Amino acid sequence: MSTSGGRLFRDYRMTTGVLAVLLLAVSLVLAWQAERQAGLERSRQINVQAQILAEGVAGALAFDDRSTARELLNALELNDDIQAAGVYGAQGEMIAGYVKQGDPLPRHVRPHPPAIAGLALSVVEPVTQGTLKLGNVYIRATVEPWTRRISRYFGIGAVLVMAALLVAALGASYSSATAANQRLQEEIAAREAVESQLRQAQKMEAIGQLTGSVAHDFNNMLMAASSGLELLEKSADPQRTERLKRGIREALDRGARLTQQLLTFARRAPLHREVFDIRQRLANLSSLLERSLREDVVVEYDLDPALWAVEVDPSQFDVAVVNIAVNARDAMPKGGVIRISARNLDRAINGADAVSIAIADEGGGMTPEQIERAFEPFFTTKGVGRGTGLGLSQVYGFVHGAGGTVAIESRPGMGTTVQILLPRQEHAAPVAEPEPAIAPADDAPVHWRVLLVEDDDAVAEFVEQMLDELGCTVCRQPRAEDALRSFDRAAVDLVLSDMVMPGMYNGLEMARELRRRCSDLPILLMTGYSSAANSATGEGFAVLSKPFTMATLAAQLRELMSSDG
Amino acid sequence: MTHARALRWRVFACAKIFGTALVLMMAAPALSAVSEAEIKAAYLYKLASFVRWPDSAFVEPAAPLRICIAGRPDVYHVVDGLTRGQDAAGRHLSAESVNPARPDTVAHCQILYLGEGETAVPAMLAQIAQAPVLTVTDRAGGTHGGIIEFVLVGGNIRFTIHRQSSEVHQLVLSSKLLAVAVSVEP
Ligand SMILES: Nc1ncnc2c1ncn2[C@@H]1O[C@H](COP(=O)(O)OP(=O)(O)OP(=O)(O)O)[C@@H](O)[C@H]1O
Ligand SMILES: [Mg+2]
Repeated sequence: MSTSGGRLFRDYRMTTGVLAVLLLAVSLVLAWQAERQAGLERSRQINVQAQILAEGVAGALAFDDRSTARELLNALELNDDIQAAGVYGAQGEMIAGYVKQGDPLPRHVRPHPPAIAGLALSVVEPVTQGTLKLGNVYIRATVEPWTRRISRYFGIGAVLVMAALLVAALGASYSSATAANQRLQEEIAAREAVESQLRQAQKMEAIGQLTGSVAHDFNNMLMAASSGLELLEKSADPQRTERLKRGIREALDRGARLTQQLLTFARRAPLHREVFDIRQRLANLSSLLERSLREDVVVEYDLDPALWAVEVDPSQFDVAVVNIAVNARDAMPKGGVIRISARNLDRAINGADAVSIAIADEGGGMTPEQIERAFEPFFTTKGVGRGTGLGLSQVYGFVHGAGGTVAIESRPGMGTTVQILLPRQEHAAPVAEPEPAIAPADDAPVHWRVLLVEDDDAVAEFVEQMLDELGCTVCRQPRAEDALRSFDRAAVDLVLSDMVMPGMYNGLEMARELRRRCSDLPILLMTGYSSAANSATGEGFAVLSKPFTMATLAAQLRELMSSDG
Repeated sequence: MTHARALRWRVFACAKIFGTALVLMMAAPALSAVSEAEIKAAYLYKLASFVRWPDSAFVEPAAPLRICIAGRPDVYHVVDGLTRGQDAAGRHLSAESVNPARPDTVAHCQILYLGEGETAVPAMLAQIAQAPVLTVTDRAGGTHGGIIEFVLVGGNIRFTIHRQSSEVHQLVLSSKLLAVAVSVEP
């Protein structure tokens, strides 16, 4: 780049140099032309003078009238441009003449047109009367001296030279400006490289921090859960068992939320957009919310009864609300009120209607710097192990993914309000379907024969137990190939398979093959990855996103079996 | 060679300064080149170029322009020499010597020089009357009444012009000729 740039400057410099030279050359040619014109004009004038003299002197030559010849020459002598003039007889002898300046008159002359000799222009014109040759006249005129000619051209010449210099100077300054510009570009590129290195370093640091805090959080949760279970085994007191179970549950909820957040942040969480009514959703969420908060924190609702519907992923919506509420709780260590209000806003997002959900607390508030950075992943003011800094980043990712906006309004000591705007969905919300996670499903046992394909033994065992609990008979295959080989439609009511598996076939390929063989076979695929889930749903397969609860599994199985027959 | 020419030039100038008297007194052959007769002959010859004659002056379109000299055989000889093979105003020039005693012989002349013999002149002029003939008389030779008259001024041979007379004879004289005349009489 710099070499081509260098050539560019040289080119500019050369171009302007050539331009300047061209300008000078053109002006020289023009001057030469003007000079030549002037010379011709002067020759013509002298020739005319000679002709006039020849005409006038004819009589005098014919009849030896020297005084008349002399008079004519005297008249000519008044002309300052004429250095010398002479009248010559038919034999070429001089009759009369004068010299004002320069060489003496030539002794003999022969007719010739105007010609420059040295600094003089001379002409010899024959004197005739009819066919009678009477003699010649000679006139010598000054050629305009160089100094006078130069002074004539000096003004215009100076202007031209200045113009040429200006062109050259402009070219030079342009090329130097280009050079400076290029240096600047190079500097910018270098700085960008340094900045990207810095960003990379920051990212590495952040990932380190994240790994640390996530590991710490998980450890805590696992600690809580495993010690809770241990205690549970040893305890017989029903009240105490109940408390322990709740503690284990809370720890697991926290873990699930954490992974959800990580997935949202990584944009890996499968999105299940649904049209729903926020009022209803918040009402269902309230019990979960209260469980996540402390006793000294009160949640108040102020919901517009005629809220518009929105179309977002409901579980992400829940997580976002919980994240904001948990932040509010953390901001009020001595307790207080969290006010959740929702209302319709006309043309609030780029002229489109929106539903606003505002969550306000009475906590310590935030500084402008904190507000500015709050949505950054891993930005936290809470110590290691107490906050990962992913809560608001999940909120941000969710809201923007849904086409909405989120804003924080806060001042230190004045509490904080986080407002989410979600675009209005024109279709009305469907009649609220019972949420399997919250509304317990119908508990009647089923007696389906399930082919479970799962490579992970731990997961397989867990799922097997769940199915067993539901009343199903399970046949498990660890690999897709084995499942395909031993498949017998008569012995299987439905297939439940992991999607990402080692081996010749993955879950989706196996499902395709099975569907090819028996198009009426109900197949349910399980995955924790959004991209896998998307490709499966794209092909019309039912997908269960991991992790799932027994209730979700039961609901999905029931739905699948009822729609398939 | 230049020296020789310069010498001749000086001799020529002297001849003019001293005039005819000197020429007449000295019959030296060296001076014959610039004799009075030669000067007058040259003038007569050159006059043809400064005058325009009407077409009626010539008997036929191809007729020569005749310069007639009455009574000065020396002048005649020079003119004859000068005009030989020469043209003026698109015509051949010819020199003729006419007899002053026979005025009838001058009607076909275009230039008539009456150099001497004042007795015969009136008869000849009368013969010409208003015919388109440029008459040249010579005061030094005692003749008068021509359209052009040779006179001696400061030792130089010059001439006067009678314009009215030239008009009477239907001749157009060049302004250049008028310019060098000593005097132009109306
Ligand atoms: N309601 C609030 N009042 C005061 N500060 C808040 C509030 N909400 C967020 N913040 C500030 O913004 C930071 C980032 O919040 P965010 O929810 O992203 O992470 P976190 O709460 O620190 O950790 P995590 O939510 O992952 O446990 C918090 O550390 C806190 O300093
Ligand atoms: Mg938080």
